[in-house]
Amino acid sequence: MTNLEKEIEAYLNGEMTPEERQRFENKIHTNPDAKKELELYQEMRTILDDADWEVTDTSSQHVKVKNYEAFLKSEKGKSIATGIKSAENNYFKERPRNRVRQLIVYVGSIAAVLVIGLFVFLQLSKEVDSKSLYAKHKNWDELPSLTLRDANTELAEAEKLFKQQQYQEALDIFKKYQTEKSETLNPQVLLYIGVTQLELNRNEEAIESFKILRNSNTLDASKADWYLALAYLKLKDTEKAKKHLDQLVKTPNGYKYTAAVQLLDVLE
Amino acid sequence: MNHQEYDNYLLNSLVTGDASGIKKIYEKIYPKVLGYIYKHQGSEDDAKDIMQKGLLQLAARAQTKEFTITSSFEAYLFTTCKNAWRRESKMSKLRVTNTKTLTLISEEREIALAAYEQEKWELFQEKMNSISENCRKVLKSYFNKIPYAQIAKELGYASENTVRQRIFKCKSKLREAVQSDLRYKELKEL
Repeated sequence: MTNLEKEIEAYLNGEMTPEERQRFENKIHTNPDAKKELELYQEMRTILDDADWEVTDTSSQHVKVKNYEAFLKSEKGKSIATGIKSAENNYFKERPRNRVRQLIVYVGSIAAVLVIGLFVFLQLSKEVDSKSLYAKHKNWDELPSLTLRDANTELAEAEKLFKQQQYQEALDIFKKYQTEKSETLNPQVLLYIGVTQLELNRNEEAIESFKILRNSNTLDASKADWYLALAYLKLKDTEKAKKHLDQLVKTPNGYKYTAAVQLLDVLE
Repeated sequence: MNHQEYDNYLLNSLVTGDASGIKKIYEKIYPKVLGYIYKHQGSEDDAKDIMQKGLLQLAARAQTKEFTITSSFEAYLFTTCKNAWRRESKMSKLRVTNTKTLTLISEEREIALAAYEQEKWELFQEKMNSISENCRKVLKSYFNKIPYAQIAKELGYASENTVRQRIFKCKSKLREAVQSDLRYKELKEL
C-alpha cells in the first residue's frame, strides 16, 4: 500500500481536513498518474457495489462508445432492432396459452380471496355471537347481596365499589377478606372475585376463581358452571362453554336451568 | 444440437437479426428477466424494455472480433439485463437528485454507453475473481457496504482494525490487477 493509496482512501472516506483536501486535490490536478489512481479507486467503489452502477458521461468520446453507437445506427444495426421487435411481437402473440393460464391464476386468486373473506367473516360473526351472548347473559344484579348476609362492613363497602364499577378497589378488599378467612370459604365472595376479574379482563384468573368455587363443598358450587360458561363465552371458547352448560341442564331444578337450555340451543 | 451449438445458434440469430431465432431467446430468457424486474420494483413494460436493450447491447458488442462469452448464452444475457436494470435504477435516482437537467440522448447512444459500462463491469468482475478467495470475500462485503464489525464477525477476523488493514491490502492487489490489464487501458483511453 503506497502513501498515495492511503491518501486516496482518506480522501474518498471523507477523513481529510479541508486543508488536506485542498492540498490533495491540487496534487491530483498536477499529477496525471495520481489522478488515474484516484479514478480507479472510485471505479472500484461504484462498479463493485451490487446496488450501484457506474454511469459514463453521456458525451463520452471513447472509441468503443462511438463504434457501438455507429453500429446501432447503421443499416445492419437497424435490421437487428427490427428482428428483435418482430421476435418480441411473435413471442407475446403466442402467449394466449399463458394468457389462459394467467386468467386461471387470476380467477383462482379471486376465489381464494372470497373463500378467505368468507372464513374471516364467519370467524368474526362467531366472535360477535359469543361475545354478545356473554354480554346478554351477564347480569351481575343477580349476585347475592353481601350487605344483607354479612355484618362485615368491609364486604359491604366492596359490594358498593363493585356496583360503582370500581372493580380494582373492590377486588382488593374481596381478596383481602378471602385470605384472612381462608379456613372458611365464602362462596359469595368467591363469586364476586371471579366476576370482578372478568370485568377487569383478567379472564384466566376469573376462570381459576370459578373453578375453586366449583370444587368447593358449598351449596353455591353448582353456580360456578354458569359463570364458567359465561367466562368461556367471553373468551370465544364455545366448546368449553357448552361443557359447563351441559352440567347445568342435568339438574332441571338447578341453578340457571332454563337459561342454560336456551343458551345451549343458540350455541348448537 | 448440444448446449454449445445451441448457444452459438442463439447468438448467431441475434447477430444476424433472425427473428425466429431471437424468439427462441425470448422463450428461454424473458420469463427470468420478467421475474427479476418484478422482484426489483419494475413492471412488465420495464421488463420488455430491458430485454430489448440487453439484446441490442449484446448485438453491438458481438460485432467486434474480440467478443467472447465465457459462460452460457443464457447466463450472459441475463446478467446483461440485470445490469441494464441496475443502470435504469441508477439513472432514475440521478434524475431525481440532479438539479441540472440531464441531456437527452438518442437510444442508440444510450445503449452504446450501457454496452461500454457493461464491458468495464465485466473486467472488474474478472479481476475480482483473479485475486485470492480470502481477499475477494472481504472486498465483496466491503464494497457492498457491510460494516467492518459485521465483516470481522462473519469472516472470523480478530478486530475491526484487522479487517481494515486486510481491506487496504486487498484493494491494493485488486488495483494492481486491474491497472496491469491492457483491456483496462483500452477502456480508459480516448
